[in-house]
Amino acid sequence: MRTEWLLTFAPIIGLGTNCLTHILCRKVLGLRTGPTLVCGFLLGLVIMAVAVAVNVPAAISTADLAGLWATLGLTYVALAFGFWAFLNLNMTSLRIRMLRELLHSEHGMSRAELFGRYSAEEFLRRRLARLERSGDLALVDGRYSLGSHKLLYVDRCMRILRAVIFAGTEHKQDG
Amino acid sequence: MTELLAGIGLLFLSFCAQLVFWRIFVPGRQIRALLGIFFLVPLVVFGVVQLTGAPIALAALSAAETARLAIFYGSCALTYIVLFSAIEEQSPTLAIISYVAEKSQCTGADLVARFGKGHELSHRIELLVRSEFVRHEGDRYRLAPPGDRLAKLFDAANRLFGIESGG
Repeated sequence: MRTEWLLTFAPIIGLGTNCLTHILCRKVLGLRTGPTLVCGFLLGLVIMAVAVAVNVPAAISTADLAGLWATLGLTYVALAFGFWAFLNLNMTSLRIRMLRELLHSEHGMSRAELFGRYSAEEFLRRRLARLERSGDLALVDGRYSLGSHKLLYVDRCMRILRAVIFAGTEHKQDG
Repeated sequence: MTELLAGIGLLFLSFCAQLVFWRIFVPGRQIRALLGIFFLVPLVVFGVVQLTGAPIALAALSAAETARLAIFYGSCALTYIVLFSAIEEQSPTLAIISYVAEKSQCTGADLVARFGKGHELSHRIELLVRSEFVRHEGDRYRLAPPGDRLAKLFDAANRLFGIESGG
């Protein structure tokens, strides 16, 4: 009975490890965000896999064993992705940035004040710097071109999903 | 294997329920509506299974297996809901990538002309007001209670996980 529940919570144990590793890497070791995310994900995955391997029942068919690993593995990947997306929102989301600016203002902010704290130039400069750093954009002789097609494929997937979900509605289709 | 197939089936049903619902009416607060749909669909399915006494494997799951199914379904549903904010509105980063791909090559001045006018910022403020995270009082914007909770959550996460302030 106990092993069955340990199996059930293995992905959550993996996520906990992922979060703790992130805190340790950033606060104690002072690592950069990218390597920290990779370390957290991998260590969480290993801990989850060990928890599953140790507690998996001996008398289980191959199909059920495959199903169990797939369920728990996908659950961990979904939880880890959710954690990454949560952190990523803090780093890149305009809306979260505005909410946090408003949180720290005592009497709210006017549109001009919000734009003063986070201008359109800063918005563009931060994104171009991030895209250049990640190799998604290349700057050669003062001209930008695509450094990698990875994000372009992501954008196309999002466009397809947007078209499926909002087809026949008044939602703006081109984003 | 039952949990995996049942989880995938429930996710598919919830997605179909969203498609049907969105065809009838696109809610103003889409994330909240999605949370409602993804919460209610499995309850309805389990209710129907219990009421009809359908002899399907779903009814024979143990407590631990049901919890495993719930965690699998919940984590995948939340992943989709997180992704949905990028589906609902094209992210500015993807818009820049798409623009550069379309032009093949462009200068910094081209990008400033296209993205440096503050339209994205204005649009995000409008979305925050429409989602009732922010109130527009006179000429000032203030956090509404849901926006205040969300801002505090992200602020706390920023300190706990040592994330650089972004935007």
